Amino acid sequence: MSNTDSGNTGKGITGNGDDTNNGSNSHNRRAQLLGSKQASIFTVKQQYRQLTGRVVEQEQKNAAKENMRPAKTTSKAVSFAELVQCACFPLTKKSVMVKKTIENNLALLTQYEWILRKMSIALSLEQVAASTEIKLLSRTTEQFDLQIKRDKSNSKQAQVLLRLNNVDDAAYAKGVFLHCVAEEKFEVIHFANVLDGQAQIIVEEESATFSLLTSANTKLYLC
Amino acid sequence: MIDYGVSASLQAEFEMLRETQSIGLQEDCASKQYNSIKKYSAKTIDKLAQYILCRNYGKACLELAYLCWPIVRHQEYSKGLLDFFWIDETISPRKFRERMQELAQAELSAPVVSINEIGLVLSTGPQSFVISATRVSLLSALLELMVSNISGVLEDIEAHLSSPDSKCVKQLASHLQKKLYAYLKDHLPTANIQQKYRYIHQWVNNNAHLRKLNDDDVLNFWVSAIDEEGYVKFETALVDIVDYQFAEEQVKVGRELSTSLVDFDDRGIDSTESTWLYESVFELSANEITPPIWLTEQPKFLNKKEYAVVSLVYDLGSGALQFPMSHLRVEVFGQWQNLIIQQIRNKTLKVVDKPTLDYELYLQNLEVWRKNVVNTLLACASILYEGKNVQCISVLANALEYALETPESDAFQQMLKRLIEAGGSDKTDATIQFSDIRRWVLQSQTLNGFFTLAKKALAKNNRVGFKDANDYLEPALYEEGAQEMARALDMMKQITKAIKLKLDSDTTEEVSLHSIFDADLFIFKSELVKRHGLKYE
Repeated sequence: MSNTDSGNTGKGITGNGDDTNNGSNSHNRRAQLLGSKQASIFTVKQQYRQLTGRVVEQEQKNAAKENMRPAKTTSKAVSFAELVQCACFPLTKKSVMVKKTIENNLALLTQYEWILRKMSIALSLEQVAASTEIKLLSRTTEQFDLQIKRDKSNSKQAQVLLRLNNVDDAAYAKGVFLHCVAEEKFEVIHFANVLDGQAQIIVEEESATFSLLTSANTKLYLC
Repeated sequence: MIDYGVSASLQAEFEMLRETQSIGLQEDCASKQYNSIKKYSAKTIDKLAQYILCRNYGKACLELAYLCWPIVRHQEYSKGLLDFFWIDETISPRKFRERMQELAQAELSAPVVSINEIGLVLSTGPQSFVISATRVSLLSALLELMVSNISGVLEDIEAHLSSPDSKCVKQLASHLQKKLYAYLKDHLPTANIQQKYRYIHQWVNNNAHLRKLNDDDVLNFWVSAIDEEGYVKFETALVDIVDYQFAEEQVKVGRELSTSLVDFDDRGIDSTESTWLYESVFELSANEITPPIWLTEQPKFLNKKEYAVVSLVYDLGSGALQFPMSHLRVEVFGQWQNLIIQQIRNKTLKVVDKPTLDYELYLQNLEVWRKNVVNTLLACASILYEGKNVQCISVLANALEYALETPESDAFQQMLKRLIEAGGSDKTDATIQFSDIRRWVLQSQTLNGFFTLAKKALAKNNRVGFKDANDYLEPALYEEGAQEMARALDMMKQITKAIKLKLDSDTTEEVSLHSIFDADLFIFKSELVKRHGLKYE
């Protein structure tokens, strides 16, 4: 009794009336193609409408987005292109927002690091340290040398000195960015002016940047 | 919410692709003026959607693999994939040629590249593969879609393509295709749509077997589908019937599948199948089912409000013309229903016992719309004329066709013909030069007058792309925009004509738009009460 009462009276249009309720999508698709060309054309046309979208509907969507903007910054997916933008222009307002999303998403962070690695002119990976408590106050690589000096006159500040082995200042016309990346956090330092291959900047000792910069677990990418 | 046809996340992906911004120009305007230029044109993403939905991406995967090959192999010149596709975005044909030229001039190990009039030629021994410069944007969008959704895809590409042997390219292409298939499997749930198709098919067989569907069918279908999921809105009934009809027709005009349908390969779908599907839906329909939403962008041919007037017909294509009264019903009663649904959602339901428009008012508004669009067409003609572009004359002719009553339009066409013939030679449309047009303008007061009219229309137009000479974009864009607007004008003209014809043909009793509206109001009111639980006095 129950098997005749399926409620599906479309007679053999796809050749398989059950495929809508169970079975994988590929199975559905196959049944659909085998059974009815009309049904597959109908399906694609309806799907296409969902991917092209009419302007009016888009306007409504935009309006909806406006209303929930605060939620958007944390929940909305970030495109790869936005990650690249964030890596290239890390200080723009938009990048600062994107950064928060990246920090909370391991997949994005992995992609972001891939981008940094590709873009960087030099990098310094995690360091071996006796204890994670110990502050690392200098790093040396083949391409650059980084030193952090505590300011004697102001105990709350530290000086970050960067010395680049390639002294071609023209290459640093826009300054250099030092991306500091640890497991779930990343910060960026902008050395705006590079002179004779050297640059410096002051950071607050209480800041997230300082703690990242001095941790052995931080990877440094110089872009 | 149940995913229907395309998963919400894939829809969001496409929306994101459409909104993706170009990085290149951002640097120029520094942080001061944040200029958002879209990386991909609407047409590029439309095309990508077509490939994805038909799973007709085999060839594109192969092209992408070939394109990436020299980029990965010759990084000292190309600076790698990241630089090529994102940081120094090389996807416009011009930029692509420029940058590939550098590779072509270098002395390289395999693959050797050169540039020809089509685009990039990759040579490996006696064989060569050509990638058109105009395809690069689409291939880049495909890569962008994969990068966001298939983890490690860039690493995979780099790993596969490190070899000088072209076999690695084909292996990569097949790898990408499989990955894409696996990803899409969960994002294209078609069961609901198929069920809908079966429902319509059955209804048509029972109610309108072997005859052409008409406006009464659409209304009857909607009324009878009250308990069927997905048919709350009248608009959906019209859209689905048009799609149903479209499917029937494409199969009739399409070519038969030559190969056996049972021959599926490991990707789960035969490539002949996907090609057939792609051709049937998109190529045979000459893309008239792609709504030209770019008309509202740059140049701004239509504002959103003007676009909304033709949104439905752009969406349905010529299939809409068969249902003129349904069109009217969607625009008047469908809008009313949307308003009610909106109010229910916002819990601000007010009892409104009539739509804001009636049929006569709608047609009056359409007249205003027509005049505005004709003015934009005239402005396009004027821009093309200033740019010494021959197409200015056909755009002008188009504008006048919809601006004037038929006899005057005919008179204009005849005048054009006379001018062409008076030129003496055996000139046809194809061989007209701009100098000919300039001469005709000097000869003919009338033509001169029309171009002056066009110039005035342009002067009044202050939208993006129409402001002044500095604001104008490539002439081809105006030609294309003009074509789409003419198509819209034509479809709307046919619809209004069909409505008037219906009024005239009914001689049995006094039929006016008013009386039809009143009758429809009665039907829709009772349906909307049933569907939305409205109370009315």
